[in-house]
This record gives sequence, structure tokens and C-alpha cells, in this order.
Amino acid sequence: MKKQVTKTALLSIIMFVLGALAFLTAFFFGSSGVSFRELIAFIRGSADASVYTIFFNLRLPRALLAFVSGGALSISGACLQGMFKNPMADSYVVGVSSGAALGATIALVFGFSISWLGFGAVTVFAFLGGIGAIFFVYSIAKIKGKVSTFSLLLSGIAISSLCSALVYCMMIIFRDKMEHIVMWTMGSFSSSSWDKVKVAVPVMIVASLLCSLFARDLNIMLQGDETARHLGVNTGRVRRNLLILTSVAAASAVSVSGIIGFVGLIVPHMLRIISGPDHKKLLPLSFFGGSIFLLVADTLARTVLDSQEIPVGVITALVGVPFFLYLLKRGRKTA
Amino acid sequence: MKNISIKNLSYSYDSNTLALDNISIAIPKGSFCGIIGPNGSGKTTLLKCISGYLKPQSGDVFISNKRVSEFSTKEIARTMALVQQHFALEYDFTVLEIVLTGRNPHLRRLQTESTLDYDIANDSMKRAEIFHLKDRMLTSLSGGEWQRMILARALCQQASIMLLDEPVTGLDIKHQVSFLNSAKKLATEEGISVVCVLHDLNLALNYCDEIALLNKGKLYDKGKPLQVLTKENLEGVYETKIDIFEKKGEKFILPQYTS
Repeated sequence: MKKQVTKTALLSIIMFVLGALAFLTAFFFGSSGVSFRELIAFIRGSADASVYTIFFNLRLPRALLAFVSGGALSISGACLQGMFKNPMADSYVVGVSSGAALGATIALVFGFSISWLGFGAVTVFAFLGGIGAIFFVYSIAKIKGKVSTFSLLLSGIAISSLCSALVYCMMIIFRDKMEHIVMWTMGSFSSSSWDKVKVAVPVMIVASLLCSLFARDLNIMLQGDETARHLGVNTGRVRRNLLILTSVAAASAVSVSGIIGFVGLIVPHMLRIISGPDHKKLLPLSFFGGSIFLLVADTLARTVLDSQEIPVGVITALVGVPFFLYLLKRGRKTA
Repeated sequence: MKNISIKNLSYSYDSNTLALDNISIAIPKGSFCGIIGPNGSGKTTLLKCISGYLKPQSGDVFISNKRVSEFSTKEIARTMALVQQHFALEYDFTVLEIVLTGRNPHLRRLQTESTLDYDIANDSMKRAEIFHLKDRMLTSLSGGEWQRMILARALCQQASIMLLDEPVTGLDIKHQVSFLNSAKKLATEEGISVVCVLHDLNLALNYCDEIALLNKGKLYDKGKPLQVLTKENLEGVYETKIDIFEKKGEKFILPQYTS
């Protein structure tokens, strides 16, 4: 027991140090070349206002959005993997990401110009698409008043495929919008703003915190639905609540960044290999692990090439997958 | 301590056939009641109706005069604990972590396990004779150790009713006897009502205070083991020839091995 506490404390310290380093790197490095020296000059009053804009209106909101979005995607994946007892589960599998992509595509091809709380039509439609998809999945999976993990998983995969097919159809029909759609589906934080931070960050943090309250239930549900009920877990209610919370968290992240793959799938697995399957440790570690991972990926996405940004989804796959495979090969601690 | 009363209970998985047909049984507190019968006779379905996992089409199950359908999920878990057949759990939790999940019905959402909860878990592991395994990973347990861990988890729930669903299936003779001795002690020494689905008629004969014999969803007979486990009853239900031997005052049930 003492050994486990020490290990968790050590992991938490490592996460904190890595998080701080990732944040400082994201804040002080960028394609504009404006760095620590310019910030000091600005504080002394010897630099122009553009330095302030770069640091506090571009890099800081972007870093905050990337950090919290990574955490929200990762904790959603960890919850869904535990809930479905399936290592492949994440917000893609239950239809949230594909629903968001469909929503964003509709806004892009029809050129909607509405705005809500400072969000553009693409962001609003992506969020509504993600949430709409999960309600659709849930209502299909509900048979005789009960929702089994099996029917949820299957209806999620079906709706996800349907949404993707509709996106491809629209890409073919509206060829002139194809590049916009493809770029959106690869994910990017380039349009980050304080307006997005003010709304999306609190929503993602609250949804993630509420998800973590179900850690004990998730541990028990790993023992099977019937056993979980006999241990006092209302499995139907927990599943419904977690589905809503993970969908809100993931849909918020996807709506401000586009689709970013692998974070929700790989980060919880990496941490499960390192810390074990206990969700009381895994959920908070997944949040911070996902945050650090996506923040580092976004910093790389905007600094690796001088001429242009690389979609952050490409970085998460290029960096994340080899590291994940290395951990998997080195020795699995859990199934 | 609580008694169980099953009144006119019927349940069907589909609209054509009744899995349970008008079952009425009273199980007094502190007794070890066996439910026996051939495959498909409705034993596990009856246990699931008692535990509230399945809702009967008609009739009711009462725990000390309160309908099971009126219990909340946590109330049920504080009242009844279930030990199922051995199943695989591939996640690497320790024995202590699994046993501690038995405290869940007593905890609020934001509450963490207290020192008292750990003490109860330790005590449960001692009673189930697996305290020495507390830090072992699940994946390294044998079948017998696994069932004892599930018994410890059930004890950790501090429920007054213990439901055992074929708990010794797949265990060797030593572990079968050892497990059932522990379960019997719960009834005789602690007044816990034990309802146990069993396939082995000799174990049922030796351990049960009361027996309910089911056949095709109906209650074929009920009463003391020697009254229920007769040649006529068993041959009628199992549709095979049965011999009952007596040695040193104890009876043994065997099928006739005909070629």
C-alpha cells in the first residue's frame, strides 16, 4: 500500500514538472521568434504592443485551450474504456467525434455565419453535432428501457460510420470546400481566442471533474454489470451520466480544435501500463497526461516547420503512436 | 438478521415459456437453504429474482416484509451479497482492492474508504482465510483462492443475506468442502441467511438446512434435505435412475451408471 502511494506521488510530481515545462515552452516558443528576452523588454516598456499580443492574446489562450482539451479528450477516453471494458473505446467509437465532424462540415459547406458567445458557426455546429450524435446513439441503444454496453458500442460504431459517410458525401458534392473540411478534421488550435477559452475551458474542466467522481463505480463495473449492481452501483444511471459527461467534454474539445485522434485512445493506455487499472489514480493522471501530451504536440505543430503549421492531429499520431508501441512492447501491466 | 419470503413468483424471459412458475418459498433467517434442480430448471433465475436483478412478471420477493422492488440499488447491496461462479477478470487489481469494493454500498459518492472500511476488509479476508493473499494480483490466483476472495468481498458488504450461485462449480473436492464449511459457519454462527444454488446433491444433503427442488420452472418439492432428496423425487426430476446408499448413518446419492 505504502509503495503504491509513493508511486502515485512520484507520478504526480513528474506530471506537475512536465506540465510546467510544457506550458513554459508553449508560452516562450513560436514561429514569430518572440521569446523570453522580448517579454522582459515589454515589461520594462521597451517593446511594442505586438509582443503583448503574441504572448497574451495568441500563445496563452492557445496553450490553455490545448492543455485543457488534451485533458478532456484523455479523461473521456479513460472513462469510456473503463465503462465499455474495451481498450478501443474513445469519443470516436461512441460517435461524438464523427458527429462533431458532420456538424462542422454542414457549417462549412453551407457557409453559416451565425455566432454565439463569440464562437463561430463551425464551432457551434461541431458541438451540437457531437452531442446530437451521442443522444442518437443512446436512444438507439436503449432496448426495453435498458442500455447495455454491447448495444451502445455497436450503435456508436454504426452512427460514427454514418456520420463519416455523410461527411465524405458532402466533400464530394462541395469539392471547393474539401480542403477546409480535411484541415478541420486534422485538428488545429490556430483559431484559439480568449472567447473560446472563457466558455470551453470551464465546461471541459467541470465535465472532467464530474467524470472523476465516477472512478469507484468504474472500478466496480470492470467486474461485470451484474456484480456491479450487487455491489450497489446503479449501472444504467452511471453509464448514462458518464456518457453525457464524456460527450460534453469531448465535444467541447473537438468543437474548438477539430478532430484530434489518439489522445483519448493512447494516453489512458500509456498511463494504465504505468500506474495500473485503478480509475481513482488513472482518471486524474489521464487528465494531466492528456493535457501535457496535447500541449507539447501543439507546440511542435506550430514550431517544427518555419513556413506553416502542421495539423496537431498529425503530430499526436506521429509522436504518440511510436511511444505507445514502445510501452506496449516493453511490458503490459494490464489487459 | 432478515428472512426471505417468496410469494407466487413467476418470471419469463420471453412471452412463450415461464422460467419460473408460481414459486412460493419461505427462507427463515440464519438458515442455509439450497436450491437444486436440473439444468434449465430456473435456479439461477430464482436467485436473480430474489436479488432484485430480474423483475418478476407476477408475485413478489419480500425481505423481512419489505418488497425487494422497493429497495434502492445500494439498499439491496447492503442487505444481500452475491457470490457467483468463478469468472475471469483480466485487470490487475490486488485482492485487497477487490475485497474493498464490498464497502461501496456503505459509502457516499464523495466518500473514500476509511480506516474502519480497511479494518472490515481485513477482517473479511481473515474469515475467508485469504488474508495472506491481500497484496497478490488477481491474475495469479487459483480457482479456490478466487472464490474465497469473492466470499471475502461478499462478507465485506456486511449483508444479512448471502446468495451463492453455484459457488463451488469448477473447484476441487478440498476447496468445495472448505468453501461450503465457511458458508455454513455464516449461517450457524452469525445468523446470516444463506441461499445457495448447488448441482452436487451430496453437498446439498450435507450442508443445507432446507432445500427447494425445482423442475421446469416449478417448485417440485421443498423441506428438509432427507425429505426432499428421495429416490422418487430425484428420479422424477433428473429423469435418470438414482441410488441412495447409507454408510455409518450418512446417506450418499449416486446415479446408476448403466451402459
